[in-house]
Amino acid sequence: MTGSGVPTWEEVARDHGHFLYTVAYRLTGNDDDAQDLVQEVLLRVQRGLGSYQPGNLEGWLSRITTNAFLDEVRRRRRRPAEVVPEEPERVLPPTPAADVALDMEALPADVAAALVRLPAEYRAAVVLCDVVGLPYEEIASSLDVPLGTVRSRIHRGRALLREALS
Amino acid sequence: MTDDLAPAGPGSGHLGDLLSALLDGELPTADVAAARTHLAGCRECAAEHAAVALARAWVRALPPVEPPATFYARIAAGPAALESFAGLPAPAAPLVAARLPSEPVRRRAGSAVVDLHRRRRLGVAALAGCAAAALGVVGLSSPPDPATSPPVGRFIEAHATAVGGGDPVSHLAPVAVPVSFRR
Repeated sequence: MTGSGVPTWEEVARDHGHFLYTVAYRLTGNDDDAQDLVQEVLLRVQRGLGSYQPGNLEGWLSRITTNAFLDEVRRRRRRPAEVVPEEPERVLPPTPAADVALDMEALPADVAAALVRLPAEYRAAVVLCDVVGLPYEEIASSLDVPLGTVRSRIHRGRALLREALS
Repeated sequence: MTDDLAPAGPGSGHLGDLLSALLDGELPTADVAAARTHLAGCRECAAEHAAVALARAWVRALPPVEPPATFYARIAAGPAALESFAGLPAPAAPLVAARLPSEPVRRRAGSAVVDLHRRRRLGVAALAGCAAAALGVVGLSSPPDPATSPPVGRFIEAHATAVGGGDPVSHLAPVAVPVSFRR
């Protein structure tokens, strides 16, 4: 760590590589894409460290990670022959049954698989909230969307997850 | 993407996405009591609350993901090494689970380096392609050598000196035939 409180690139890679990989894996759902995403994030970190204001480093890294992820998702959407994630309008679940059992268990693998099938924007919001643990305001800032949009994406993402695992 | 799809919310008589805000402690303090009162008397909101609470708990219980050991070697190579492989074409596969976390995030030892350096592999292939193309251009643009003769005799001598057992050519042909690529 430099005297200014700004970490060096090597410190970010060494001390937060595991964190970055976990976030990247939850966003992409597979090792290859996760590693490529971390690689892209570390390149952006290198370019952005000069302007980093000491504070919540993992929040800053999460912002870079989700932005890099969403950039890649948008880039792939522009390709005519590729698979586009399902539109949320087509996968919104019906109203949940009234007898939802709170004690229902789900295997982590099933949860992770359902997570990566969420529309990318919902997935990013859910990951930032429930994997990284950022408050809504930081998520709004990270994704550059209003607070109400963050609340909506998180809620709908969770509802879709619950429906997918019912 | 449309985010204004909420069928429920403050204007609909149901809490809608305020339920997640309530769970996350993100609802303004002034609204919490009213939300809880509504929740206690609305069966639909109670069911939705239970559903999203369950999903929230599931995701929060997901364990950290342990990267393969080669991951650390990859990032330890430093930003310059990462930079040299950036910008190469990524695979067209969608960003969804190709291998689910239930499956081991392991690879066979022999394939690890190749798989984890997909972009490196692409980079090497691209460089090799460029090199081949460049060589091709040079070959096409260079004037042909009017009389190129490989020094077969010198190869035979060198081989005989190295292995001490005669040359590998003369036992196939009694006489070394001079070869010329004259056009």
